[in-house]
Amino acid sequence: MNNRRKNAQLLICIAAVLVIHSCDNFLDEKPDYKLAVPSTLADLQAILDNTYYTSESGAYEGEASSDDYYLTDADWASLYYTTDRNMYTWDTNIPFSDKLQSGWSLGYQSIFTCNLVLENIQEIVKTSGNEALHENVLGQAYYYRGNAYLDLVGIWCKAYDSMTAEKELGLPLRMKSDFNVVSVRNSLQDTYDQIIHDLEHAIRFLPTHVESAWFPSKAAAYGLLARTFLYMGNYEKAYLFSDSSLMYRNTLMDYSSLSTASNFPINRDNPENIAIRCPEYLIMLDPSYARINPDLIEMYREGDLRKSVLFRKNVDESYRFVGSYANHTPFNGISVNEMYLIRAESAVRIGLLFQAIEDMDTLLKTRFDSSGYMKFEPSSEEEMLSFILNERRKELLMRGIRWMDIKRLNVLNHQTSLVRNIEAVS
Amino acid sequence: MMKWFTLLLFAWIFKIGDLQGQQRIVAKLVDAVNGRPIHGAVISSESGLVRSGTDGIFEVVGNTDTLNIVIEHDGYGKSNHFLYRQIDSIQVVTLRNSNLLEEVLVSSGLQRIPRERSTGSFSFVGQHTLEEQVSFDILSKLPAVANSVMTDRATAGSSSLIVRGLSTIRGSKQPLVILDNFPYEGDLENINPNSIESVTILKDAAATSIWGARAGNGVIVLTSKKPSNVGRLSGTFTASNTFGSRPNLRYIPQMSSSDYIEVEEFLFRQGYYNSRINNNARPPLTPIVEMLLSYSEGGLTGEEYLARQSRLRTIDVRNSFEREIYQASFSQQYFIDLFAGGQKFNWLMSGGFDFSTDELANKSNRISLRAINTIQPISKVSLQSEMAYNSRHSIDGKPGYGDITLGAYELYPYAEFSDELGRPLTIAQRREAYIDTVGGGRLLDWHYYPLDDYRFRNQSMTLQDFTVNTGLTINLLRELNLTVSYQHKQQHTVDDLHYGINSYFARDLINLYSQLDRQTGDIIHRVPLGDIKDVKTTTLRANNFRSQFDLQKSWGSNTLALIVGGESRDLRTSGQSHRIYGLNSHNYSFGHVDYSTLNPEFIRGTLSRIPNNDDLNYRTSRFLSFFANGSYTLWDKFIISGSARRDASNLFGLKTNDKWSPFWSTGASWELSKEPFYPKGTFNYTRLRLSYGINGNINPGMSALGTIRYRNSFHYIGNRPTAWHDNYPNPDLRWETSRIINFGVDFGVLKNRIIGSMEFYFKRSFDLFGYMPNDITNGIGQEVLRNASSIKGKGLSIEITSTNIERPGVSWQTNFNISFNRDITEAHYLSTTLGRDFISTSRPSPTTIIGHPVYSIYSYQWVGLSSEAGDPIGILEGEPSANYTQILNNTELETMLLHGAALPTAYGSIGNRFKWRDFQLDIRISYKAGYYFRRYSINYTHLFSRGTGHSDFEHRWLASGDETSTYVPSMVYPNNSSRDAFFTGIPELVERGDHIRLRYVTLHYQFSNFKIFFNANNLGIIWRANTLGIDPDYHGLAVMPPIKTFSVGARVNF
Repeated sequence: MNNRRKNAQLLICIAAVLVIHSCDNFLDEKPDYKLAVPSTLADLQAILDNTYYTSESGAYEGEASSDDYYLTDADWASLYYTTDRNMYTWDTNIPFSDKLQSGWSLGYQSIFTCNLVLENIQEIVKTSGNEALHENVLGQAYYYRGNAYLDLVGIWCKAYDSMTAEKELGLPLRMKSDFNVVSVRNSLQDTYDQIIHDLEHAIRFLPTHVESAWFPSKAAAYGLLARTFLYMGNYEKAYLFSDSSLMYRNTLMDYSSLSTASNFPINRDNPENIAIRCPEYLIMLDPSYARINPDLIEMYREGDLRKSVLFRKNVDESYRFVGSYANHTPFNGISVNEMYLIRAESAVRIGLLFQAIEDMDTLLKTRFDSSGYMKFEPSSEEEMLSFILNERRKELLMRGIRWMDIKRLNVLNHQTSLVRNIEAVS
Repeated sequence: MMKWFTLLLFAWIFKIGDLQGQQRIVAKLVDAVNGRPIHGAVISSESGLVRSGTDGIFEVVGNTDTLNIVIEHDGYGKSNHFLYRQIDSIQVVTLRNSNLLEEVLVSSGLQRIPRERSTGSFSFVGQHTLEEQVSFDILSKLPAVANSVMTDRATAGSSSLIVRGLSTIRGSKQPLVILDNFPYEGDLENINPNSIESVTILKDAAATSIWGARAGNGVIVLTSKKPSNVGRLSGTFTASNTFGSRPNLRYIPQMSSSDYIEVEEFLFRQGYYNSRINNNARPPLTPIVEMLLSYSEGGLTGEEYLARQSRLRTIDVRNSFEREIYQASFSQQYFIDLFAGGQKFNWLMSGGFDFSTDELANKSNRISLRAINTIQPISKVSLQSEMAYNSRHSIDGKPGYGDITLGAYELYPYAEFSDELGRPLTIAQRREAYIDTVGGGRLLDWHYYPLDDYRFRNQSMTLQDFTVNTGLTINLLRELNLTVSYQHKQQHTVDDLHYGINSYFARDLINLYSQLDRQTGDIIHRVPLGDIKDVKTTTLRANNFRSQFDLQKSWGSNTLALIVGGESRDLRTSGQSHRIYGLNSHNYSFGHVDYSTLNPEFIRGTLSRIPNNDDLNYRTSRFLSFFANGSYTLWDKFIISGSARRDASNLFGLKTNDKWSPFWSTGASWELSKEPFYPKGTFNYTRLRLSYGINGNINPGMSALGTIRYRNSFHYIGNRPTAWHDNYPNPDLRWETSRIINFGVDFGVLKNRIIGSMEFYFKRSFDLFGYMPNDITNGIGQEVLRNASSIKGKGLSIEITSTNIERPGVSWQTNFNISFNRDITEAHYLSTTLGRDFISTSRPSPTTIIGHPVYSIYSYQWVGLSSEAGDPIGILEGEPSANYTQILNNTELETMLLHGAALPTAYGSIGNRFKWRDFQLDIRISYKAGYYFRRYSINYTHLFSRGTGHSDFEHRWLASGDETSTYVPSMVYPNNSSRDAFFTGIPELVERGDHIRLRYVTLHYQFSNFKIFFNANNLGIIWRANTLGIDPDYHGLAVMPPIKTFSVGARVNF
C-alpha cells in the first residue's frame, strides 16, 4: 500500500515536469530581432526609407526611347540585351525577360511597398503624440504610389486625351499587397483619377518642411500633381499646382557658380531639388554610351552657361551629359526649374502671358552669364509657347520628361516624329 | 548496452582440465541461425587474443570462475560475453550475423528497438559498412551505402541529401539529423565520423511522425558509440593518411585561347569596346584589347601586335592553375576510444584529431573529445551523462579556377600569373595604364597579383562546440520507466578575415578613398593606411529538455510498448560582426573612419560612404511538443502501432500555426513465417508491414503575414534605419503536409543466406511551397515562394544482402540497393505559364503540368540551324521562325518537348565484400538512372558581356552546310540575347543523366587485433549515358568532379 502511494506521488511530480514544458510566454519570443511584422510607424518609415523601393526606383524607359541622346552604331551593337537594343529602335519585340528588372517591375515594386504601408497604417491608431509621423508616413505612401503610377502611365500608355480616356486602356491598378489578387487593366481615365487621388492625399498629409529633398513634402506633391495635369492638358490645374509648389520652394541655382570641370558638377543637395528621384540604371543612358543629340547642343546660345556646366566633350568631339541633379546617377524627381517651366507653359495656354515672361526671365537669368543674357519679349503667345518649349528641352533633358512631352504635344498636333539611324553592322 | 546480436548460452559443458592452477575453457562459436561454426573471430580476454578455428572452437585461460571475453568478427560485429568454468563440457556461444535484418536495432532517436518490433520503414548502416569509407564527415558516406538516400545536385543551388524522393519542392530538402536523441543543431562537420556506431534512416510516416513538423524530408538518426559492460579496459585506435589527386582542369569546357582572341579582335573591329574605353570608371580591358587599342592609336606596330598575339594564342590558363595554384591534397585522421566498466558503472572516452590540406591549400584541423558514463547508484535508477567538445580551425588558401577575375568580367583563357623568371604578373582590375599614372606616384600600388595576393589575405574560421547531455532513468513501476533528459549545447564560431595592407582589397579601398591635392601633392586617406580586418562571431545556444514515460508490459507472447512524453527546445543564435580599418598588426593600433560622410571616390569623384561591416543578429526558435508512440504485439507475430505528435513554435503567424493538425501515423505487421501454415522451405522468413501516416514540413522562413527585415545600412540622410521586405503577405498560405502509405516485405531465403526487404510507398504531398513565376504587377519580382502544387509520389525500394559464398577462409557477400521513385505534379495553383520560365540551366522550376515529373526537363521544338545564317530555327504558331522574342513570349509550356525528370527516378548502390583468409576487399558502385540534365553551351550574350566562353564555340556554325553537322549557332553581331535564350533550351543540350560511379575500393588486412586498410575513394564514373564525358553530378562552367583520394590506415583493438 505504502509503496503504491509513493509511486503515485512520484507520478504526480513527473506530471508536473511535463507541465513546465508548456508555459505560455515561452513561445512569445521573437524569432529574429531583425525581423518585424510592420506594426509601428517606425517600421513603416523604415520600409519607405529603403530608397530602392521608393525614391530610387523610377522608370527610365521613356528617356531611353526619346531623342535627347543617340548611340553610335558600334555602341548600339555592343548592347548585349535585346531588350535594350530594341528599346532604342522602338522595336516591338521587347523580351524584358532577358533582364532581371525593368522600370515596369521597379514601379510595381514601389506600388506594392506603398500598398503594404497603407494597409498596415490602418491598424495604427492616430494619437496626439504620433499624429505628425502618422500623417507623414501616410502622405509618403500616397506620394510614392502616385509617382510610380505616373512614371508607368507616361511610358507604357497612350497620351491622355479626355475624349478617349474612358475607353483607352490604362495600367493595372493594384490597391492590395496580397499577390493572390489577379491584376486587371483599368482604363486610362481610371489610372489618371487614381494618380490624382493619391497625390491629393499626399498633399493633405505631407509636411511642409522636410529635412532633405530625399523626403517628399507638400511642395513635392504639388509639383508632381502639376506634372500630372500638364500631361493631361489641364492647364488651369497645372498652373495652380505649380504655383502652389513654387510658393514653398522657388530658389534657383546660379549656374555661374557651378563647376565646368568636375565629372559631376551638380550635387544632390542643391537648392532646386524639391524631391529627389533616381531612375533605374539603363546602360545606354550611361555617359559612356549616351551622346547628346547635336541638334539639342546647337540650341544653346552663346553665353548659355548650361552648355559648359551640363556637358563634357568626348574624345570624338561629341558631348556627354553630366548635369544630372542627382550627381552621378540620373534624376527624374521634382525640381524648382521644372515648376517654373510648367507654370510658364500653363500661363501662356490660359492667357497669362505676362506671368510666363516673368517666369522665364527669373529662370533664365540664372542660366546665362550676365553679359549674354537678354529678357525674352515675344510678339505673340505662339512665339512665347514655342520659346518655353525649347527652353524646356534645354533645361529638363535626360530626365525622362522628353518622352511624355513628345506624346502630349503630338496630341496637340505638334507632329514631332523621331528617327533613329542604325547602319547595318557587319 | 545492447549490440546487434544476442547471446545464447547452451549448457553443454565439458571439462578439459587444470593447467598450472589456471582454468582452460574451451568454447565453440556457432551461427545462431544456421548453426554453422564461425571461423576467424577474434576473442580477447585477460590472457590475450585467440582466434576461433575452422570448427569454431577456441580456448581461453582464466583464473576466475567467470571469464569476461570480447568477441569480434566482421560479419557478426563485436560483443561481450561471459564464459563460465564448467566441468566436462564445451560452451557453445552463438552469434547472429549483424547483417541479418531481424536483429538490427533501429533507432528512432527516442528509442532503440529491434527492427522486427517495428512496423515502419528504416534503413540501417552499421559500423562495418561505415568504416569502409574514409571521410571527414558522416553524411557524405551515406549516399554510397544507405538505401533510399541520394544526393540531389539537380534542383537546388547546393547539393543536399534526399531521402526517398520529394516531400517538398522548396530549396531545402535536407532531412532532419538526430544525434543520439536530440536534433543536431550545430555544424554537421563537427561530428567525427569515427565516433558514430550506426546510422538509421527513417523513411515512412510510421518512422518519422514521432519527429513531427520537421520530419517531412525524412530523418537520419546518428547513434554514437556507447560504453558497454566490457569489464576491463578496452579500446580502439585508428589512424589514416589520405592523399588526394590533383583536380582535372581539362574537364572544364574552357574556350580555346585562339578562339577567344579571335572573338576579341572581331569585337574590337566592331567598336564593341568603345563604350568601355570611354567609361570614366576605367573598367579593365584584356591584354589583347589593350594591344589592339595601342595598335589603333599608333603605339604598337602590326608586327609587334602579331608577335605578342601569336604567343598569347598558345597559352592555356589551366596550365598555370595546374602548375602554380593547385596542389595535391593530404589529410590525416587519428582516433582513439577507451572504455571500461560493468553493470553499475561504465564509461567511454574518445578523442580524435584530424588534419587536412586540400588542393587549394585550404587547411583545416579538428579536435573531437568525448566522455560518457553511466552510473547505476541504486537498482532502479540509472544516470547517464556525456560531455563532448569539438574544435575546428580552418585557414583559407589560394584562389581556384573561377575565383580570379578581370574586375567584373571573367578571366580570359590566355591569362598568365607569372613571367619566365617566376615573378608574379598582374591581372587588371581597372585600366592599368590609367592606374599607373593617375596618382602621380602618391597612391599605393593599384595592381592585383593573383599568385601572391592570398599571402596577404588571411581568412580563418575557429569553431568550438561544447555539448552536455544528461539523462536520468527511473524505474517507477516494474514495467514503467521515466526518462528525463536534458541537453545543452554551445557552439562558438569566429570568422576572421584579415586583409594585409599589401592585399589588393586593402590597397584598392585605401586608394579609392584617397584625396590628392595635385598642387601640393598632399594626400588624405579617408580609409586609414593599414590592414583591414573583418571579425564575425556567432554563438549558438541550444537547450533541449524532454521527459518521457516508457511502458513495456508482456503477457505471455503479447507485448505492449508505449512512450508518452513532451519536450521543449530553445535555440538561440546571436552574431556580431565588425570591421577594423587601419590596423597595425604589430601593435594592434588601428584607425578610425567616418561612416556617415559621403566621400568622393578617387576615379570618378562620385560620392559614397566607406563600407561599413558592422552587424548584429539575434535569432530564437522555440518549440513545444508532445508525443506518444505505442505498439502492441500479439502472439509474437502481429504488431499494431500508432504514433502522434503535436508541435507549437514561436514563429510568426501563430494563427497559421494553430491550424497544424497533429501529425500521426499507424502501422501493422505480420510475421507470416511464424504461422503454422507457412511452408518450410526456401523462404525461411517473411514479414509483412503496412503503415500510413501524415507528416509535415514547417518552414521557419514562411509566414502568412508580411514581414520586414531591418538591414545594416542606413538612409542617405541621418542615421535612419531602413528595411527590406522579408516575407510577402500571403493570406492564402497553408503548411505543407504529406501522407504516406508504406507496404513492406522483409524476407529471408535459404536459411537467411539471402535477406532483404522490399517496400512500396505512395505519397501525396499537399500545398507544397515552390518558387513560381509571378506576375510582375504584383510588385514582388519575377518569382515568388508560395503554395505551388500538390504532388503524388510512388516508389519501390529493395535492399538485398546475399552471402554468395561462405566457406572456411573464403566468403563473398553482396549488398544490393535500388530505389525507384517517381514524383509527379498532381495539381498546381497557377494558370498556364510560359515555357521560358522552365529552361534554367542551374535551377529547374517545378512544372505546372499535371502528370509530369515535378522537376521536368523541357526543351523548345526546333528544326535545326538555318542553312543561310546558322540561326537556330524554332516554331512560332506552327511555322518555322527565327523571331526569338516572340517564340520566348508565346511558347506555352504545354507545347514544349518533355524529356523527363530532372531527379533520378532510379538509384542505388551495389557493394561486394570478398574475404579470403585475413584479407577483405570491399568494392562499391553507385548509380543513378532515368533522368535528364541540361548542359551548358556557348552563350554569346555572356561571352560578349562577361567574357564567359565555352568550348562548344569551336563547333559553331561557320558556313552553309555546317548545319548538318552541328547544332551550335553561328556567332552573330549585334548579339541577340533572345537567340541565346532560345538556344539554351534546344533538345540537343539535354542529356541523359544515367551513370554508374565507382565509389570506393577498400582492402583490409587483419592479423590478430591489428588491421591495416587501403581505401580509394571518388574513383569516378565507369559508365555514363552521355557521350560527351560530362559527369551529370558535376557539370558547369567552372565545376570539376571531386578529386580521387587514396587512404592508408591502421586500426588496433585492445
